[in-house]
Amino acid sequence: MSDPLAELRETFFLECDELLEKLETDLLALEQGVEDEELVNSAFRAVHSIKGGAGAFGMSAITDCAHVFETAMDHVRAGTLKLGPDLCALFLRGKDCLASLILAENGGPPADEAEVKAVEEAFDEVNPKEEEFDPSEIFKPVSLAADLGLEVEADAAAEADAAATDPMDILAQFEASEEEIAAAEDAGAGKELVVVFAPKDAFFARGNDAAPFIRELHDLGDAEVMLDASRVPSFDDLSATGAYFEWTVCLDPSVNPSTVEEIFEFVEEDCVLSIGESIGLASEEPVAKEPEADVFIDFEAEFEAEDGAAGETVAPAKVAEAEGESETEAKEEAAEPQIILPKPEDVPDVAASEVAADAKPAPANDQPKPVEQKPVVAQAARPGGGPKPVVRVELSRVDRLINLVSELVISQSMLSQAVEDQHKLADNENRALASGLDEFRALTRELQESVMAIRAEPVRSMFMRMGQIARSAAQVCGKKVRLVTEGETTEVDKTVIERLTEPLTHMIRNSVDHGIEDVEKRIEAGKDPTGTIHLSADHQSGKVVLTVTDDGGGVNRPKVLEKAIEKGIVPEGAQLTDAEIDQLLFAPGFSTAATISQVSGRGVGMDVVKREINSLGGRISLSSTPGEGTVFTISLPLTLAVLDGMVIKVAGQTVVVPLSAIAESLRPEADEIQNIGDGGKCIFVRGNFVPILDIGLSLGYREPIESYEGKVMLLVENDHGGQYAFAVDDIVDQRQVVIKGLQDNYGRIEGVAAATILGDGQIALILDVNDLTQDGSALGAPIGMAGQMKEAVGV
Amino acid sequence: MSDKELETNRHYTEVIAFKVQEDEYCVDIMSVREIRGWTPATRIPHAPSYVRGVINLRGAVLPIIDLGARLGFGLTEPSERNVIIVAQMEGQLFGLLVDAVSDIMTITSDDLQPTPNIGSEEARTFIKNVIAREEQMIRFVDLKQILPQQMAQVA
Repeated sequence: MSDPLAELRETFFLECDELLEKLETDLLALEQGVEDEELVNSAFRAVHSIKGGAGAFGMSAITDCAHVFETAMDHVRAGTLKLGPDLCALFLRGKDCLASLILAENGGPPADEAEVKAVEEAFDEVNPKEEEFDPSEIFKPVSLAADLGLEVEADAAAEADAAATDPMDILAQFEASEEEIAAAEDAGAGKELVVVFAPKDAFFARGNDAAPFIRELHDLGDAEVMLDASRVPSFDDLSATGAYFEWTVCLDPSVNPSTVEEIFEFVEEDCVLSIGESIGLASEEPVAKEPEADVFIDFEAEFEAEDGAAGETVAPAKVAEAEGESETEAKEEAAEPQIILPKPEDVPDVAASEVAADAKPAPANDQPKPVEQKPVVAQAARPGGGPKPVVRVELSRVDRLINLVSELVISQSMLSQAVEDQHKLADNENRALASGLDEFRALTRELQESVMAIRAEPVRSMFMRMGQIARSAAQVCGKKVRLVTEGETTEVDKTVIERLTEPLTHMIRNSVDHGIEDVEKRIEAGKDPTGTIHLSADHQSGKVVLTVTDDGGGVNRPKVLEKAIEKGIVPEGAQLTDAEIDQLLFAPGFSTAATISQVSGRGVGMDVVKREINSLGGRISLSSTPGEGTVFTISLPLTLAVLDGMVIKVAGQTVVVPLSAIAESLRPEADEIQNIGDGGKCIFVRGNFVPILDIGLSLGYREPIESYEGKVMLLVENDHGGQYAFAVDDIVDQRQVVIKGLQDNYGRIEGVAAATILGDGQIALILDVNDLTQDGSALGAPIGMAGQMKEAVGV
Repeated sequence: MSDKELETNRHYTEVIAFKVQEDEYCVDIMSVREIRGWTPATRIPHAPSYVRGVINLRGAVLPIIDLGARLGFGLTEPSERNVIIVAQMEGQLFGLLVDAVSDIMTITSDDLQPTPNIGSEEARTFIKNVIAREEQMIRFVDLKQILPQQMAQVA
């Protein structure tokens, strides 16, 4: 990239993505009733950063929108605006607006101007006019007193609590009560802002001088400066580079503490600074920032564990899930470098319970979901945890690395095989060789896993987007919907996430449009007028399992069947089981919406969703209970780079069939195979006639064969639910194979999805089951009546 | 690269000369990545007969084109003596199955003669120039034309 500005813009957009994500996390937490001023601060900072960046690039549309947004947030911060559900919703709309404006700047579709305007006006409306300030509204003596009181207590609990109350919180409270303090001063309370400033050695080592800082404090107004020289040692112990002085500056109470912070902004690290009020004992117990961070992080890890327990009591049905979740998260946490810090054993327990009570005044039984939600939110929102160091790497480099490592794994297995063949490793003299090979194997496996992990990313960002989708869909449908997400930290291959976004978007829209009922209907049914869509991700035995659960009306089976018959998907009078009817939703060209709505029903049905998920090597299923809701379950491979396959032999060639498509394998007797017309054969399996497909013939490896005697049949199922029996010569093995694209150097081959390299270094082709079984394809797949019927029904 | 470009860009071109059957051919050395021995290829379904299949080139899937068959001489019976010239064109890698590599030569654009106007249109498609050397004819192969339609689309 030659244009430096373009590069900066790119960085800005990347940052915007991160900031928007953070903003959304914070706002959602606030919406769910988590009362934490740091969340507000964090959200404010995100909007502010976007505004700043956009300003630098002259993107005035973003700046304008961010400005009104920021103003409103600032009022919330100051306490002049009460954060309610309506305001939260407005904030989220504002965030969506910002997102679309940013996207528009980044070459995306133009933002919806009307919506932006509406949001900006709405912000203007809620933003209180300056002169309407009523100091009594923001009077917060209780919280102040509590904070100050805690600081003097020397016990562990207080320390931890102070830690949980981020310095920013205290600051915010000061800002909030600024006017109140001014009022109090008039009444002669004699409060003063006390700044205690003690430079460290490093302060002077970096060429700083204390005097200019004191002078700057003077410039803020009347200041009384006291020097504490009590720490100056005797002349013999005096170090020429040591810092021994401490100044106490009493300032006019009208001075904003943040202004003081700003003065010391660049030397923050090199001095001990405390800003407090004279009437408390704050100045005697300076709040040192560094140690707090340590305690805070410990607390956070503990908090998650605690949270698991909370989930247990609140939502018994979720016990296993919640516990598993918090455990994995705690484990993941433990692996992060930033929390490998000294851990005072006695602190966290007390802290966890104390703060849990403090930070969440909302009764737990009213808000079970936010409780589950909390660890993630806390983790993301707290600056105390510090950002993880990140390196941005071009994806192609990672892919190259993955490719090479896959090769290493293959050559490792080739080497082991060769050595094993040559020497009898059981012999004593070869023990060193054998153990060396074992070590080599273990290392290559570990290397492979680590490299694969580079491509993985948490599903959080995708889930965030779904929140936006659900909100806009709900707005259009005039329904009340809440999207609850779970397992955002679950890591999935980047490509999987990218390709999953669209089908998932469609599913969320579908759930809002078709799943959740209208408000009146919900009230009628005695449900919460606000529908809940639960989106969760989890790792289960080497797979990623995503579930989309709504608490809506469930699949309306009679209506679905009626529609299916009407559209000719199912013959009239067909008797289908409930499960079969549910499957009809995935049938091509099916749409239950009576009228085509703006939200779903754009001619894209669940069949597209299913196809997309199948193409990712995953599966989708649904279960539904009338009146209670529908659960869609998607299971996906962790990465697209490997595939579980069955290695088979056909006409002398070795090919791989994706295991996900294989239902079973069988060796039929001669009398189980039936002729249909010219050359067509099918096999009788448990009451169904399944067409036989000779893979050797389909791939052009051999001429049609007379008899399938002695052949192995693989019962496979394609994406449309059609069943086929693949006739192959032999089954060799079942293993994980590394997928190699054919596209780059050759192009698409009909019936072949990709290639892989087997242990002997030979390439084996991976079959594309859908392609092979396509009706009327050039491959001449014989389709029997049974197959068509089955396919139609979609079982 | 046309003759004109060859003339203006550089006067000298290095080519790798090789044998198919008894005849000599050559390709621009800049498009050759490496030369390796024959290893059995995995057959590709529905591919033209001159596409011998794919082999594993350090993890990449490398399609192999039987140059003899492509030029219409019938399938080569590959043995260990055969070599594969790994060539690259516009980011696409493929292997040419030939009998043996004979020489690396430096030629000038003056050496390049147009392909004689013989009856076979096909031959003129694949051979873009001929070079006279020691009373032998060396045929300059147009790699782009060698690729089957399907592969050319990819490139």
